Amino acid sequence: MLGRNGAGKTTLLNIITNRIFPDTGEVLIDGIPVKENDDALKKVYMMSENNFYPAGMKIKEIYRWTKEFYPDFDTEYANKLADMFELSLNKTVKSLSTGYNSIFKIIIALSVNTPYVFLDEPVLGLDANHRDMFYRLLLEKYSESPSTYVLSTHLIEEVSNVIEHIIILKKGKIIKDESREDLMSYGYAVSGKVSLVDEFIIDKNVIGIDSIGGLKSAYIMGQVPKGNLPEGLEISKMDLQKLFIKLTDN
Amino acid sequence: MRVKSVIKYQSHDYIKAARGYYLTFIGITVFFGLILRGRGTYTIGGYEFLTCIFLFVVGLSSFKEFFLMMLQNSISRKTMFISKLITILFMGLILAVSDRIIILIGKLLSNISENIEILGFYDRVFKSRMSLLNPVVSNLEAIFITIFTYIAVTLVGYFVGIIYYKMNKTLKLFVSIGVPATLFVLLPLFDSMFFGGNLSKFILKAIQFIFNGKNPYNLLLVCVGVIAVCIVLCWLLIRRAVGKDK
Repeated sequence: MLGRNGAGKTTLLNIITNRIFPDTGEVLIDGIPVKENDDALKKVYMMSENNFYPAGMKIKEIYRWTKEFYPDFDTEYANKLADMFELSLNKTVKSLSTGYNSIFKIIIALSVNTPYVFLDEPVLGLDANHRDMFYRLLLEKYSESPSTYVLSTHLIEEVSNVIEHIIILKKGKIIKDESREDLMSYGYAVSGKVSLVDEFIIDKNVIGIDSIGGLKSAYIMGQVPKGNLPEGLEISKMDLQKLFIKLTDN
Repeated sequence: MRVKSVIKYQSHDYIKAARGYYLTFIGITVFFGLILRGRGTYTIGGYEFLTCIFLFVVGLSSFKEFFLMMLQNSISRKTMFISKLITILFMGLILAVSDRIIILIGKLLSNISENIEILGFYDRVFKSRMSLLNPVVSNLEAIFITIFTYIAVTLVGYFVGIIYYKMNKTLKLFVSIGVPATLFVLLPLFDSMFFGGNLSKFILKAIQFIFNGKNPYNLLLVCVGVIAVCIVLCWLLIRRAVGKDK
């Protein structure tokens, strides 16, 4: 789920998980209304940017209680992930850095084994190595036991290769709800020498340009032109971030 | 199933707090008992009153952290509230029985040694009533009334805790200063200025009615009323409460 700041991503996730209430409308999970309904609620877990866990509680206690509320929580797997991320289970929530605060919640989200897992800004404060580890683990987990993982993030480039389906929010409204493949077919990228690219894009709807030295890449909305391309130009997939900026720009 | 898990979670917290309370109480009692050995008597009068203060604080501080943890674990407000009421009921029962046992041990100790004297609040206020009944019945009645008192006190604390959670910082400050100022400064002032002291007399009569030494059931009646009002008000507040940043 993508959207600019204030688009309503966190608000929507909070409504879905019954943390706040909608002004109008209803949320259904597998056809069951979610509002104040434990049968529907037990199918969801939300890892939020805000910390709702008791500050003085140790991580191992949190894992123990999560198992109580989500019986399918895999404690063994959670411990394994904690080892991988070098997270000490004896630490309290308040003693964790911003990065580790995200890590302990990521571990719960990956171990909880519930049908719908919502991750709101999951990689907040994580260094590049830990972010990479998280994306790999997420794909691994998804391939082993598929659940619906909904990621709300600003780091579009990073998640573009992880996601299957994209929902773009703009000012509280869904403006795109499509598969990644369909969304990416909205446009294409063309790259090559500056002069060649400039000539090619004269009559095109260009949404972004990257230049390095004598090379240039242009991101163009529309279908890839039929026929032969001028020699020296290369067509590639649209850049998701460029497309996002175009779609959400005021 | 989820109610059971929530009760388990809350009981864990309450039992931890109660353990700390009793250990502190026993520690202080033993400490002063030893210090005053041969030099005087260490007396605790109205022991249940201490537990009431403890339970009020427990109720007051048990909303925010618990509520957020339950939201995090996708528990509905309805389940949270039902579980909370069951936990408060059990805590009232356990603490009332524990306190009665402590008071009885205290009585036994004061018979053996003049060093320590633990007197129950109930035993002091309803002294004439207790003297009319046989010891077993009077102690069972004391436990029964104390359970309701403890539940009422915990719920009042819980209600205040929810109100505080829902307030912003300015309002919290305003209420924290405003309520004591109204009760202890403005009310006596208005009473003497406009009501000729009748308000104070009414409050005194109400207290006398509640703590009527011969009839503990007035206290029970008031507690039942407080419990009912608190349950309704707490539910009205909780059903629309939302998760807020810490």
